[in-house]
Amino acid sequence: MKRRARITMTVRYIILTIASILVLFPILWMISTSLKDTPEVMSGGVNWIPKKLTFDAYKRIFTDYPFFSYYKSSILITFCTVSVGVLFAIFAGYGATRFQFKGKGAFLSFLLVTQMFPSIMTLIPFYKLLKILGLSNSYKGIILVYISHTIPFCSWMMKGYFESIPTSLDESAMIDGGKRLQILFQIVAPLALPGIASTAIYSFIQTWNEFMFASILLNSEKLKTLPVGIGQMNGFYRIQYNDMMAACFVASVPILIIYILLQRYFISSLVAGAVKE
Amino acid sequence: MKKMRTLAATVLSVSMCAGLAACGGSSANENTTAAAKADNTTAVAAESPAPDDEPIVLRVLSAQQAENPEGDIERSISDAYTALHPNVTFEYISVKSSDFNQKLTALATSGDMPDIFQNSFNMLPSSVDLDVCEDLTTLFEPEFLDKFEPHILKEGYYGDRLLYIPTQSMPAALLYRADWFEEKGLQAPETWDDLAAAAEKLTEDTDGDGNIDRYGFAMIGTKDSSAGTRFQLIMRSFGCREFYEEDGVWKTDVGNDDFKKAIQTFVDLDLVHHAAQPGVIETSYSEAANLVVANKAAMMLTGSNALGTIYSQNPDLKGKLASCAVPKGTEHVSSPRSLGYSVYNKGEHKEVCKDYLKFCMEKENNLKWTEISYRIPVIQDYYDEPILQNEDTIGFVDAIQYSYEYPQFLGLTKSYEIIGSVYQSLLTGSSDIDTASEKAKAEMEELIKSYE
Amino acid sequence: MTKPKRFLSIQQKSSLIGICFILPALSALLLLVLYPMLNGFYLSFFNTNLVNRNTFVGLRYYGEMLTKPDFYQTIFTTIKFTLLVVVGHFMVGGLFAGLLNKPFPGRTLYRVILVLPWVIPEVSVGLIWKWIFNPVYGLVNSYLLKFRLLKEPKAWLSDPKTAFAIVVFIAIWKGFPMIMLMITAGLQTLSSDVMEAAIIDGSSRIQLLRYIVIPSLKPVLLSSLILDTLWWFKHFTLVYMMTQGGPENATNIVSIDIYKTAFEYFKYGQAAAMSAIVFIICFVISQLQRRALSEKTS
Repeated sequence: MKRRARITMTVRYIILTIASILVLFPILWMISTSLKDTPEVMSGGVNWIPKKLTFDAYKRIFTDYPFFSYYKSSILITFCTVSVGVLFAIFAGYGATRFQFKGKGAFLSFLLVTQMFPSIMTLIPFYKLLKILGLSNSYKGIILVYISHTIPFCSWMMKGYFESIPTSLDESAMIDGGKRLQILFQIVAPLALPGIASTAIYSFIQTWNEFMFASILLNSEKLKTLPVGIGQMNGFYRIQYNDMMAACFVASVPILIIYILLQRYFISSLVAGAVKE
Repeated sequence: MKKMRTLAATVLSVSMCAGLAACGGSSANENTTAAAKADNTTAVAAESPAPDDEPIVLRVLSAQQAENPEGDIERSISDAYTALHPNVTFEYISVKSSDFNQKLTALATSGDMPDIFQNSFNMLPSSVDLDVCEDLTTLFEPEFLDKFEPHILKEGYYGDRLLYIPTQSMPAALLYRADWFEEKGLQAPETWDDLAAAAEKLTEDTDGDGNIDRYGFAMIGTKDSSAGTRFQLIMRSFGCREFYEEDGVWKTDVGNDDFKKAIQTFVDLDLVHHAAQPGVIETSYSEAANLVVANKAAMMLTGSNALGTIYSQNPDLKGKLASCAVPKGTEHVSSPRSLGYSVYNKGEHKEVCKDYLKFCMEKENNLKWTEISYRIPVIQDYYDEPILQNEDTIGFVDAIQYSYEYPQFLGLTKSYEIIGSVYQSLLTGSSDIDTASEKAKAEMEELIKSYE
Repeated sequence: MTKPKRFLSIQQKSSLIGICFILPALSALLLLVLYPMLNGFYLSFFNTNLVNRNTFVGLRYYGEMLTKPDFYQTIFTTIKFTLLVVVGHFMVGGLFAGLLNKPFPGRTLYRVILVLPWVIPEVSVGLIWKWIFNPVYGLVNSYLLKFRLLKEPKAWLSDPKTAFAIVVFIAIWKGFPMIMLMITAGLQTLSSDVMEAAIIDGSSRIQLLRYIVIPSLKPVLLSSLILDTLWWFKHFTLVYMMTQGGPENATNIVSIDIYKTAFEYFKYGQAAAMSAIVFIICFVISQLQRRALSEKTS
């Protein structure tokens, strides 16, 4: 019996290690390329360790390209989007699980329906809409657009998490004379905190990585986000691969850090409220 | 009842406030076109402007801004203008070349057009379709326009209207490694057959590791306009016209024997002579230029700006490159491939734009493009500059005389795809020349019909 | 003292409060999603470039699409792509979720590593893999040449067959972590008692899987399946960055086609019609999936 267990363990390690290699090698190659000097990059080959280790690419992306500005934009836009989006999603999730009202089913279906339309076609209508609202080429404008992107799935997730928190808690609190909002923020939400954290992480990643809308809706260099900056590096006249790889790495670092710090919540929270139908 | 209303109002307002408060910090960074707000790297209105000069912000849409060092060159010119006219500042809207069309459409649709926008020989049809260009013959005097090199200026015309004024030209020619040619005792190719022979000789394994690491010809075979405009030169060199107008009706030579000859010559460089790098159909201009930079390619069909791209990445190549006219099928051809500015026909500052564009044409400013980026200037008088007489540039400058008249057909973009499919399908071996040509002919005719 | 007259029953009051709670999300969506969607549908009936050309053409574009083979080919390619990618996600994600279910030394490390593909931006993923498959400088060719498995460099993304396989592989690579996480969550809610009982009863692994695990994971599986299918059917960025739909339209999934029609040929009306059809297809797929999987409720 023990032998069988050991074989299982070994097989498990082998499979997981192979998978990890498949996951890690592009990422490590990206880092390796970013640390090489241009002649070495252009000579091809399989050197993982750069012959001449240099951080020039990293320096260049901050001096030759406005990466500080891109960072600032990304952080600001993502933070605002996630705060508002998750807040609205919490409200929606709470409302959908604690109350019965006509059209609740329609609302939930509507959330799903919004996922079915190819987002490309909404590019120009969004542009026009923002112009009408006087928000074109602005942080507020793109944040509104991103909020609309993130709400459907976040509401879906929050609904799932809230469903797993028994309504008896609400009821006993109400008997004690609590108001709905109070109950939400003081009792229910704290219990669903892991779920909220994971919804926030999901929303953060989705918003931080978004490319298409940012490239069209933002005109000035000052407002552009990291993905747009990276996309622009795939230049028409010239492509500097080491700079591009440095940029890819630098753009991923914040999410990686947040993910590593909060992954505990992310996974265990999905336990608390697996997305239910 | 009242309690609920209050509750509803509270919930709504709390959420709105939370949202707006969180984003309140961003309002300071918002971009309003009314305010004279310029990008922070633009020269700010320095000394106090003259009392009766109102501050003007010229908005410029440019794909050059996203490129290095072209963005800096462009800015240095506008900064110089601001230094002379402190009340005029510039606000750039930068966009990736490949996203240019989307951006232009988005701006045009929402009435958010800039005062000046970049235009070029292959973007012209789209801007005509959107009807956003001012007829510059009404803005500039004929004496001014006469100073331009006629072939280059012609590219800005649509019918009788001048819709963009070129600031730089990137004439197409053949770029080659003069030093390797000399080593092998080769002459600059006159015909495509010469080129094929030379390319074969130049394809070799130089470091003896069993793998070929030098290719005779860097072939650009994608299906986009960059590759499409290059291939059109090959077509035209065989006398095959992608579009031509006869008695007011558009027609095409695609599918005829000259077309097939052009296609065959092109694909044979890879399939028969094995002189091209692997992955032709995924190689774009910048990747082909990279090959030359890395000493992996001996020849390339390109505009003069390739010199700028190549030298900036590998300065050692100075003195080793040369240029000559695009090889003949039956004749030498070229096109100026110019880039310039259009003025928005519904803009408010047309006179200022005109003044600025004239400023751009001054010798010092126009030559900035040549010195760093190897774009050819547009004013005839500037052609005696020494930098334009060297082995590497002279071929490009001389090529301008072979320019053919660019067909001004609105469906040009789709034609690159149609023609691109032909050579791509031959390169991947999924079709043969007759079938592919027939298909392309039918599609081209359908394209022409759809614009009637 | 008479009771104050209530205008609303407690039930109605409760309903109204509920509606208030969903109001922020709902209004955001109505304003910011409904308008573009409806605008999109509206545009599909016009031949327009959005600026000065706006001719009403009715159902012409719909007719064209349904009669020309090209669009069918694109849809077929997209369905093939989506099917392979989603199945890949579930197989790979499910396998890893199972392997990572019980704690063992090193589990956290593997968990962190295996989620990385999802975390990295699509733009970056597309560029990195494109670089790796570059025919002249790429890692793949360099290794294969080094070990003499290839005689000369192969242009992987230029060959229609290999290009398709590669984009499918990379799409699976990018997307499996999300499914893995969802299945992990589902697995952890499985009552361990039931599992123990079944094992004591002598069920084999496969039986366990079939009769206990999968049925109880059904809700999670269903919602992940629907969402994953929808997302990857509409996918754009990764494939566009790597192949732009080529070679030979081998990877021309429908979003890329729509993009080209709208932004390279300026035929917004036609692109809008294509989007409308994509919408209908997605709707049908999600309904089919729901029906197929709900029928087998225990």
